[in-house]
Amino acid sequence: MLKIENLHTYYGNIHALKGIDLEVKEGEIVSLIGSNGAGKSTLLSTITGVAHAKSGSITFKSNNITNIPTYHIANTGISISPEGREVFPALTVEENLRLGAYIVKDKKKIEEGYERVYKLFPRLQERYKQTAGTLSGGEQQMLAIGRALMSNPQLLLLDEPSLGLAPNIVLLIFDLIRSINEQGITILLIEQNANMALSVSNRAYVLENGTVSMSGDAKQIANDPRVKKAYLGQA
Amino acid sequence: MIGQQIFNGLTLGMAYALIAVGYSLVFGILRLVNFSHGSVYAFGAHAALLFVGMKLGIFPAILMSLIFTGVLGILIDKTALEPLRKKKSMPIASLITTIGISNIIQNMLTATFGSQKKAFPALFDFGVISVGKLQISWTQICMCIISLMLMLVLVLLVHKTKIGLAMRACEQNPKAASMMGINVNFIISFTFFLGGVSAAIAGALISGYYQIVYPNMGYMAGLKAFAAAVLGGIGSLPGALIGGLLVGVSESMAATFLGSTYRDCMAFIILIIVLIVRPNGLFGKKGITKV
Repeated sequence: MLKIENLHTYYGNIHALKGIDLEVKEGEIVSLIGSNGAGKSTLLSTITGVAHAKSGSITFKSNNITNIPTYHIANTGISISPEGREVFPALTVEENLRLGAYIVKDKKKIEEGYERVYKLFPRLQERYKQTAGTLSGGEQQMLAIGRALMSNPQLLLLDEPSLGLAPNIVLLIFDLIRSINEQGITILLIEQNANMALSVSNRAYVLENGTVSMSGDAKQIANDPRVKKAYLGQA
Repeated sequence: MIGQQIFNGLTLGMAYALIAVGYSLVFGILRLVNFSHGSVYAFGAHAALLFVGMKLGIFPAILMSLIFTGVLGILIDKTALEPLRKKKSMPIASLITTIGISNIIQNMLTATFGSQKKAFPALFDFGVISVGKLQISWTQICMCIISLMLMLVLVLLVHKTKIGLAMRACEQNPKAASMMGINVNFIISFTFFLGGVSAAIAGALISGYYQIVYPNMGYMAGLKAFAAAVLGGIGSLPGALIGGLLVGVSESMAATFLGSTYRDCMAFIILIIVLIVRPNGLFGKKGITKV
């Protein structure tokens, strides 16, 4: 579904991505793990056109989407829940969700979007008139994911959904990620919390210094001694 | 006497408010004080004068000037400001650019129309009605009604329409807005268009009131409207209205009680006092904390 080939991206003078190859197949949850500065977020920015690829290609459903303007990405069927959530703090929950369906023209589809999101996150429905800035961190994360689901995407990019959340909320978020995937949405998950990410994923890629150092079945990766040592906090 | 001056001031203030709205709209979305706005207002008045001279009839002429002035707003952004944003240059570069553009427009107006003051036809000149001791001209009444209606339209546009929602989203987080599929540069152009249109309406109304236009008419009016916008809380539309009214009333009071030589300083004295007491302006939001 999403295919990335030999992707190179520079951040100023820093060679942040040094030839990444990655594939996400329809229906999968694929996780991308790695420490700070490994290039996880740069990869996501390059997919969404926020950062500029120097060479290589990104293909989504056989369309070349390398370096497309960010505002076109939603039209391709890819949706993003960005790192740090990036909700619109002075707008209400409902307005935030409405913006998630900005590209949707059909009123009925927008209503369906609200229903789908409120069913997944009843908490958001309770607070639909509240401004996003007044929500707790977990609720804002739910809003960011809900907003990304409003356009009924085929591929959902989740950037650090567990960042800064209490452990019980993290469990809840990962449960929801699983149920979103069960509804037929393919997910590319970027996480520092490798344990959680690997537990819900089909496959995984480990990123180190801008290159893929390991890839394969999520369970195998979770059992690999090097990964255990470096990312899972086990000796 | 006081009642009369208050009313005159309110009328003038309404028009200031319309100019102030342009500052607020652009500031809201770009965090940039668009100092070319006063000249855009002068351009609107001259465009109206030009089209009136073509014998199009006064209202089609004003309508044409609205469109042209709106397009001028878009051009300013596309030719000078958008390239700066693309280069991620310092905010001060955009600021000095807007001052430069202001002078270019003013110079062009002088070159085309001459620097002398030119007569502008009176608008809504249906005579005067007396309410008690108040002498109210139809020109004033229509100015108030039109300005209020426009403010209302703008508020509804920003708060009740899809493009308004997109404007507010771009204001808070342009990156996230573009991820939602919003073309941020289009929204910015649209905002400049709205600013140009409201300046042109103000230009036509004020010119119709004083029946005079000249190339640097936008200098003082622009500064006062900017003071009004900051006074009300820049970025807030009700703030622009209240700020404009305050500036208008204080100006006409000063002209009456202190003499007309003091009228231009009043707006700024009030601005300084308000800012000392309320640094964000009367309706100013506290800085939005980005989460």
